[in-house]
Amino acid sequence: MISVLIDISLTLCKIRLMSAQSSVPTLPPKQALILELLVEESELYGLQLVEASKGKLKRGTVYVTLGRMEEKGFITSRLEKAPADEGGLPRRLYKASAYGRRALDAYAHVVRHLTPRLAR
Amino acid sequence: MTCQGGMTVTHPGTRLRAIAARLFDQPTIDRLIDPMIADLQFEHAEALRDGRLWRSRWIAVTGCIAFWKVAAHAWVVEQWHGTLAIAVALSAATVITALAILVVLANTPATVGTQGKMAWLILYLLPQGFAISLPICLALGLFIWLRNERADAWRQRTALWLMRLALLLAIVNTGWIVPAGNNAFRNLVVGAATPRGVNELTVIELGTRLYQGSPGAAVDGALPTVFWINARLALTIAPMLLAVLALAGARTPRRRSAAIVVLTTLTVFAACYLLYSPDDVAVLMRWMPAAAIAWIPDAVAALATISLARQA
Repeated sequence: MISVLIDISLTLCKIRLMSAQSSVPTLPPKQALILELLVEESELYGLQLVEASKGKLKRGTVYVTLGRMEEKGFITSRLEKAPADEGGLPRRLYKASAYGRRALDAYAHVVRHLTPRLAR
Repeated sequence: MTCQGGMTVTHPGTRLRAIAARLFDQPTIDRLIDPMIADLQFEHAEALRDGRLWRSRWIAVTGCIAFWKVAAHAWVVEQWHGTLAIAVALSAATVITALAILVVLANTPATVGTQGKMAWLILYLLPQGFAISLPICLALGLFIWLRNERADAWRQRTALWLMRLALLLAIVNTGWIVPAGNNAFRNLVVGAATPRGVNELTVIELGTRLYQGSPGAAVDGALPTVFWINARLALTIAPMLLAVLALAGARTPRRRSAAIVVLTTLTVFAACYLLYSPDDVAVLMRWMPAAAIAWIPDAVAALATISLARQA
């Protein structure tokens, strides 16, 4: 009886730990690619990211991904001044944050050391 | 829009942004829509500056497609409960319509005339199924949507417009489309044009018959006209009634009990229409007037609404 209780409590502890682990930020491949490009180029527009990714990022999804990354704190953005002569909306420039750079380093480290096949 | 050399230039995406402003809140527009449109306008202007007219047109088209992709994604994420409500309401509508059609088809004798014409039979029964599923799916959708969202002016307006639209659809459907569908169904089953029964009369013809003839008299050897016209009216106002039930349920602080009351009421409402038979109504007529029997599903909904409103 006691062993069953211990077993149940250990399982519950594991489940609790698992749920705590799920709050650790993840870095999906597209977000990693965006961070790589932003680290290389310092500041880019959404459209420039699409062009620089050579087809890996689409203009219909890149802004959604950028919005999500900004929420996570991986990137920061600022509005450029609106073009005075042409009218239109001011463009938004994106930049990798210090936290995003650390996340990218950690991701690269994992790829390099834990999944050697992918790193090749 | 800007003026260049006396010419008015419309930037691509201006109208799309106006649409987005009606659909999304400001943070979503700032974060997702504006950056996309700003890049589109820049790219478009660049192509025009270089004199590449076709390139600029192509950019406008691809930009428009990209906008709708972003808008669809933003809608699903930002209006998650709205999306869930639409999905659940449509699923419920499909299931209830299918059940309503199956109930009628199960009681329809297979004749030579109907062989190979099942698609037509189902098509003719669709309005009947829709008449029952419309109030339920509206109530279910509104309940799921509004119980998890802030009741701001936009949501209140949308709910009100949905209720008005559903009422209008119900009036047209139960008044004219259902009788026409029933008539076509009967003719197909019999294999020839048949005299129209009480379920094949439009609501105006039914009303005329009620006032000209004896309202208590049985038509088609079954139930009196007064029952049928009241049943038709009860089903017509049901979308409004069940929508009010959903709104009362959504505003009740006891979320679980409200959900139980709303779902039970909707189930009872559906069962009343799906499972009843003229024989059951004839039995009930021994204890209560035919007109009152027709209003039982609506009365159940009204009582549930009152109980929820008192809790709120």
